[in-house]
Amino acid sequence: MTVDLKHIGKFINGDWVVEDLTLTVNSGECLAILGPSGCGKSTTLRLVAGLEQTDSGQIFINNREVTNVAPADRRIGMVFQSYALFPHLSVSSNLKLGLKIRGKSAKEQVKKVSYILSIMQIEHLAERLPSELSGGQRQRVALARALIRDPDVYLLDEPMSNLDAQLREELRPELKRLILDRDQPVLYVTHDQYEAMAIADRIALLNKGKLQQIGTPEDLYKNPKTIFAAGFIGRPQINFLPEINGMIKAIRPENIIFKSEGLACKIQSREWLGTHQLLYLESNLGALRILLNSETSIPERAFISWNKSDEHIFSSKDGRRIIF
Amino acid sequence: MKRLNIYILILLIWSLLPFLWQLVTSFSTTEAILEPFSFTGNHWTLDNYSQLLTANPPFWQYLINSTIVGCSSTFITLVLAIPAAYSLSKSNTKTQSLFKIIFLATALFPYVLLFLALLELARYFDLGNNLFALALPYAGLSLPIAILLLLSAFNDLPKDIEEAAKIEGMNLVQLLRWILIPLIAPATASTALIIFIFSWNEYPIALTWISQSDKLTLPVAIARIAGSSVYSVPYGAYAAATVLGSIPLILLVLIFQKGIVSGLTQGAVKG
Amino acid sequence: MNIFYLLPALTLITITFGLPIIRYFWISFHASSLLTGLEYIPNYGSNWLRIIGDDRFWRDTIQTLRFTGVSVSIELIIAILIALLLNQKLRGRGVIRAISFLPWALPTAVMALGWRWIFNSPYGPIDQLLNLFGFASLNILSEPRLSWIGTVLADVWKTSPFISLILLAGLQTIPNDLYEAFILEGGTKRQAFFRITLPLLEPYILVSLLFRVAQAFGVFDLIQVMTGGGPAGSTESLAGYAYLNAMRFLDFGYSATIIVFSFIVLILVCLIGWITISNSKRILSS
Repeated sequence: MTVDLKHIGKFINGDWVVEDLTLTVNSGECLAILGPSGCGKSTTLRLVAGLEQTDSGQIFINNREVTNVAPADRRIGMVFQSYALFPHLSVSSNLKLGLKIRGKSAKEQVKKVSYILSIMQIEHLAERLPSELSGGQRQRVALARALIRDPDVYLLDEPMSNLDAQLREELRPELKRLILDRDQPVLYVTHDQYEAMAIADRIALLNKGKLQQIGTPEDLYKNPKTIFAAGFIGRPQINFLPEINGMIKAIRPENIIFKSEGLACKIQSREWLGTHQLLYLESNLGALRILLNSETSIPERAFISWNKSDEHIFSSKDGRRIIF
Repeated sequence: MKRLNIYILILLIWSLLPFLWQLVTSFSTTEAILEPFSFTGNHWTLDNYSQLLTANPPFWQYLINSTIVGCSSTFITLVLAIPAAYSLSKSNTKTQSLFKIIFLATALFPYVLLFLALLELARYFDLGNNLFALALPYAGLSLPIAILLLLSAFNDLPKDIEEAAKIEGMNLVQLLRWILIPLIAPATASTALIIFIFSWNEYPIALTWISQSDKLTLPVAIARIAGSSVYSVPYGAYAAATVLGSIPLILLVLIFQKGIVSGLTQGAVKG
Repeated sequence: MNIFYLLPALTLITITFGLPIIRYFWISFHASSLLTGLEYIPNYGSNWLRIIGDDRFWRDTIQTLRFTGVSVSIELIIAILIALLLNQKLRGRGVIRAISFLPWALPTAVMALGWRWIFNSPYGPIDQLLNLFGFASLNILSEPRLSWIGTVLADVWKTSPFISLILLAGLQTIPNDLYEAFILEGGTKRQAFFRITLPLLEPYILVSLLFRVAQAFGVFDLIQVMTGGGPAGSTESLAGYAYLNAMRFLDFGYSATIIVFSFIVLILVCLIGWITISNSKRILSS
């Protein structure tokens, strides 16, 4: 089971919201679509779902072209950011409705619903209305509604963004168990790079409707192909050094170390982050952030340095990585 | 909080007093009506009510007539307004605001001034003395405000929910049946209530369209009971008619008061 | 947008609103009365000449404007008070609200008769009470200089709930933290009303004013039933005069002319009101 997007595009109000996007999600793989708000990631998902029509390109699910197929016939399971549970129906009716529409018998409906409720561990919520559920419970029901259809592909649109940080951490392993460990490909839209790294096998990084880079989380972190990718992935943000000869060098805060000699710096402020500390420095090369182990003692007269091999070098003309 | 209670009391008295006075009058004997503040002699009676219910046609006939007109105009309006509001909610903002302005302007129009032309229509198509036909102008007059109210209800629905329904494979009829109509039920109920009250209370058109005495709607019938001269009004019977004719409305308002506040205002103001 | 869903509704709206308005223009250029055997005969604007010289028409225009202006202003003030009161946390709020909306829900024609009885002289409660305490009867509805006040009072009672309903919904959209922030800034409750409540309520006030001005300008049932336009025509409204011409004098041509003229006056009133409001807003905000 796969999803293939071939040169798809969406044109709205004189702009390509998604432009010439080509990517493949393999069987059993979770691909996170990551990017800042307005980068076209949600639109991409909606194009795959069929909630919006493509203006160019083709979409294949399981090698079947679905570019002009109605959403209901694409065999997708979708989880909306707002969950989009039907507010006037109980949890079990929410799950049943789709089966009913598809003409499943009453017996089968009951059987499937109780099975899904049990694997989601929400049997006790069956008769409640969505308004009577907590955020985490609603999310489970939304997942259950996607699961019950036994779709060919799962589409998840920021499924965690309405939950608090602790709940997100709790739900991540569960999400993996329930959906990500299945054979179906998963498209997972998020703006949170930690979530993308934690959950996805690969990440597709989008900016202004264009694919910036696609690869494993480690690949994106270690070998950013563009200035945008370098600046977006990794927190605290990478340090960009002033342009020299059409080249921009970047160095990650965690790759900078204190030395007895090197670039002279003044320490502006310090944030203590538990396992680490983040220092804001002022140097000849401008403001720099460095991330140190929180035990590291800070010298009075600071000199910093880094390994040449940790430098990322980009062309200032097109923003692309320069490979020597 | 004492002062607040006094204000509430004043509000309640102000709102109810004219009606309560009708209630008192309706149970008063003719002598008592002429001297309401002297409590000597025979003050209370049920004669006014029995007189009403044994008249020809009996009073409940008017209640039935008004119910027929009210229900059929409400039904026609909703059947036309729901699809219209739904399709408008799917159109772009420019079209929507154009129609909103048109509907607001028509809803604002003092409809009383239309009576003459509507009467011509009634004569031309022979619609006089027909309660179901009377429901047509009522529906036409109610449509603009009904569409505005329902449009804002449709616009308030989260887009995601309709999309989720689409993914479940619903066609338009299923979408309306399972999702949209249940979700806009509160707005529909308050819209229906407003149309019903308007139709129940409408006077000038009913006055000109209906002349047959067994077809009269309630307000016209009551005004007729009261006659035309200040001095010949049989106030006891009239007051009893007022009380009987108001009970259905009082019940409706008591039951639906919560919905009216939210339902009536949204569409009007957003328009 | 699927035009077929919209079409039936638009058709009925056009028949009830659009056709009559066009028809009125047409009729207003025709004579149609008992004299013409109720046939429409073109009379080339003589209806319009007649209306300019018709003192009764101009008197009714002024009376209608007076009725509209006075009753809508009083209603607005009372409605704001009612809405503020109903927005408080009260025990039995549902019932209190329902009762305060009752006047709006009851038929105008019916309650107008109720008010006529209240104002009746000498048997109505007002004059009875006055007499009981040794005062002379007021006899409001038979006194040409007072009768319009009686109609205003009945209209205020009947339609204030409508405005308060709209304002109440407006009040419910104002978030409470605005008031808390204002109190923290050192504002008083009275200042909060003028600085926060009123400005945020403005769109709701404008909409309800629009509705009420238009409705009050077309006042018919209330006056027809309470006073029949009398005494001595002192409460006659434009709609009443148009009705009288059509149904009593059977002069349809002139009735239609009065109606068209009323449209024009109403549109002018709304325009002037609109310009005044937007001007005063500019002055206030500068």
